[in-house]
Amino acid sequence: MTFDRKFKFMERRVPAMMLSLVLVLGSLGLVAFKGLNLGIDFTGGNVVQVEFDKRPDVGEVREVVSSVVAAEAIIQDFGDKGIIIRTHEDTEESRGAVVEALQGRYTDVSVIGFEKVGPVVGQELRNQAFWGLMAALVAILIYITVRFQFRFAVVSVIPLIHDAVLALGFFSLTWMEISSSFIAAILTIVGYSLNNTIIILDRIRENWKDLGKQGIVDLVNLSITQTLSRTLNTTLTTLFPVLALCVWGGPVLAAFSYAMLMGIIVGTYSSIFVATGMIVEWWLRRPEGGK
Amino acid sequence: MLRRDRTRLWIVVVVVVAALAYSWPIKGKINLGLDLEGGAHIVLQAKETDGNPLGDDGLDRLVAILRNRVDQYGVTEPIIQKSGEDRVIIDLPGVQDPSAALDLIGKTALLEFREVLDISESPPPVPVRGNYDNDEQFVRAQERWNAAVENAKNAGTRFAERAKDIEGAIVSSGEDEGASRFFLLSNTLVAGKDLKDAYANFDQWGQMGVSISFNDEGAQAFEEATGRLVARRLAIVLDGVTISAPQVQGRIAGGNAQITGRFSQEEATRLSIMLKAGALPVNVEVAENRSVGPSLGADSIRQGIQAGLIGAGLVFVFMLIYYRFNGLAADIALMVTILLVFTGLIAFNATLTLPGIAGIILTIGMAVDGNVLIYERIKEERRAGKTPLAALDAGFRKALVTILDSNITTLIAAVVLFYFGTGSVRGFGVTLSIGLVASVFSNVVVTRAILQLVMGSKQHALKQS
Repeated sequence: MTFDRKFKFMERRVPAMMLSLVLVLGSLGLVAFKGLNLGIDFTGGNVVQVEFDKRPDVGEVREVVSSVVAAEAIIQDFGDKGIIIRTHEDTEESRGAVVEALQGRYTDVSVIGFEKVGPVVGQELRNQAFWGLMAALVAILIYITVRFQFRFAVVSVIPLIHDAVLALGFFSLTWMEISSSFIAAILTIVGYSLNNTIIILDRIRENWKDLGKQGIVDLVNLSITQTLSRTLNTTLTTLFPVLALCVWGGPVLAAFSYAMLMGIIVGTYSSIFVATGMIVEWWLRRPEGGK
Repeated sequence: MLRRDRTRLWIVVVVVVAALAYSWPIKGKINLGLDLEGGAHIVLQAKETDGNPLGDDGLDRLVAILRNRVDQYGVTEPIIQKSGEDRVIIDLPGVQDPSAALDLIGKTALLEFREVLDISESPPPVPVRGNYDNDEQFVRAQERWNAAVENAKNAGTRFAERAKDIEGAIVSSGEDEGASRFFLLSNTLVAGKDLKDAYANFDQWGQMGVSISFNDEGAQAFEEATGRLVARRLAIVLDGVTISAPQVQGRIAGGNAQITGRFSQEEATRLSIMLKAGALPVNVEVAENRSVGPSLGADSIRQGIQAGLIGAGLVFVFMLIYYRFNGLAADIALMVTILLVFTGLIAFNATLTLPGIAGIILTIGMAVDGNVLIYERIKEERRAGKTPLAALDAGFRKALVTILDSNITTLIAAVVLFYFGTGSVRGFGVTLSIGLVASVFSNVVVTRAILQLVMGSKQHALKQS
């Protein structure tokens, strides 16, 4: 069965892959030179969330706090009445001093939450995140190799790395804080993107028998076209809740929500162009060996 | 309707009814994480000290002493557990002032041996209705019991009066009887720092006991105390609570002693752990301390539910507009998915955290993916010229492979998240996994049952006319 409609995605694979390359290199560059805003989950330190009846100016709070901490503290608005204070010192005493200083200056302040993480925990979390991602990738590689073929496994894992790197670049660019839930966000992005990729690859596998008749470029184009309305609809239905999360989910989930939003957009793009583009290139260069 | 379809319909009905019965009313059935409920999450890092290697049971001792402390603090449902080789995690739900909790937890355990100057009467056992012939007797027994408890409380007050006049004396409550038995104790005779070891073993008569040994200084003090207190009681006091008050059988020289009594093996082991805990000044450091006030947690839940409802509403409307009747079936399936997710959370006793809520919201968006796949397939089959029923069948069959492939790969990521993650990330992994399984069920079974039901009756109607 063939369609009348067949979009020529693969004719644009070279510019698309160039764009991806630029974005990946740009992200890596950002991470290397600008760095990441690692939250205390990773670096160790203290976070104090306070609420005021009438919130004072952030600059004023900064002055009060800087009188008791050595390194510069990060002070942020939070919700309507709250302020978040992050300091690099990770001792209980340091946190106590910050709270005391605030209570000495303001009568309407109340501590609504705090976090204190030691440097060892941060180190472990970083290892956990790295090994978690590695283990997930290997497990996925094995599954796809068994279900499809090795070539498919490789090209389905590359968009994941692509997406994860872009997410890191996005966080570096916007300087949003990376907390422990960021790992969850990255893995969800990876899962979502993979979902998309697998569905297209599934269709390519199904159409594989017509390879001789159609040629790889047309076959991939057809497969993407056939699954396109599914891809767009699912992207939309996933986008709705994530948008709702961004707008109404509250400040605590903000970073998580934006990471997801960005991940869905990038994930949709990468599964249409990156995995498929690679399979076409790979096939054109070394057609033998595939089924 | 085919038999297969009928079976499918019955499965759906049974699952939905069972899930509803199990999870309704939902309030109070889901464990809320500390980030939602408010409370303190403290991770303590144990450090070795000179001559006190942490060892295997070092952490057990630390846990025992912490439990003892937390119990005194009166936290409901605290969680105290070992983590790895040298960490202890303490979750204190609802604790408003974590610094106070930390002060209590963080101090080194204090073990002392003190002379028992007086003991209040042991409270009688709580009367049980079954042991009495009639209600009247039972009520009288209850009254007697209440009076005895009141009396015991008064004894505490009386002891406190007397303690004022005795140098170094304290009033201590007994451990097992709650706070209703009181001990008036002298000043410290031997301190826990002089205790070298304690372990549970059998004495020469085969009774379970606890053997203890002291260092030179402790041995001397202990010999002096036991010599003076023959036939009287010597209290073992941990953090001001009398954990045992054995009678001294005779002067004990040489620094080794045995506490015997009618111990069960567990009791003896526990006592030895308590003793060692008090003897071992385990240095603990706070590795992590997170605390959320109840207002912040309540805010997060409210905002999460709001975002979830709006997100689900948008998905509902979209599916309805785009797929019309089939969209309605998908919406019903989505509702079943959400119901199953909550039921799953309750069944697995999972803890719902803030990222978990985000996970559920995301599940809502991704849950209809299976339906979208199926419907797009059915459209294709229709375009290829199949009859509605044949297209439905082929659509489901072909989409199933894809649905399984795509969901299993995501499930792999979710399981890895659970396995490697800690705390809230773990909660997210659980929620996502439950969501994936629930949505596959809903897509494949629920939607199909609904569509088949309607299509089947339509066909039937056509044939009839």
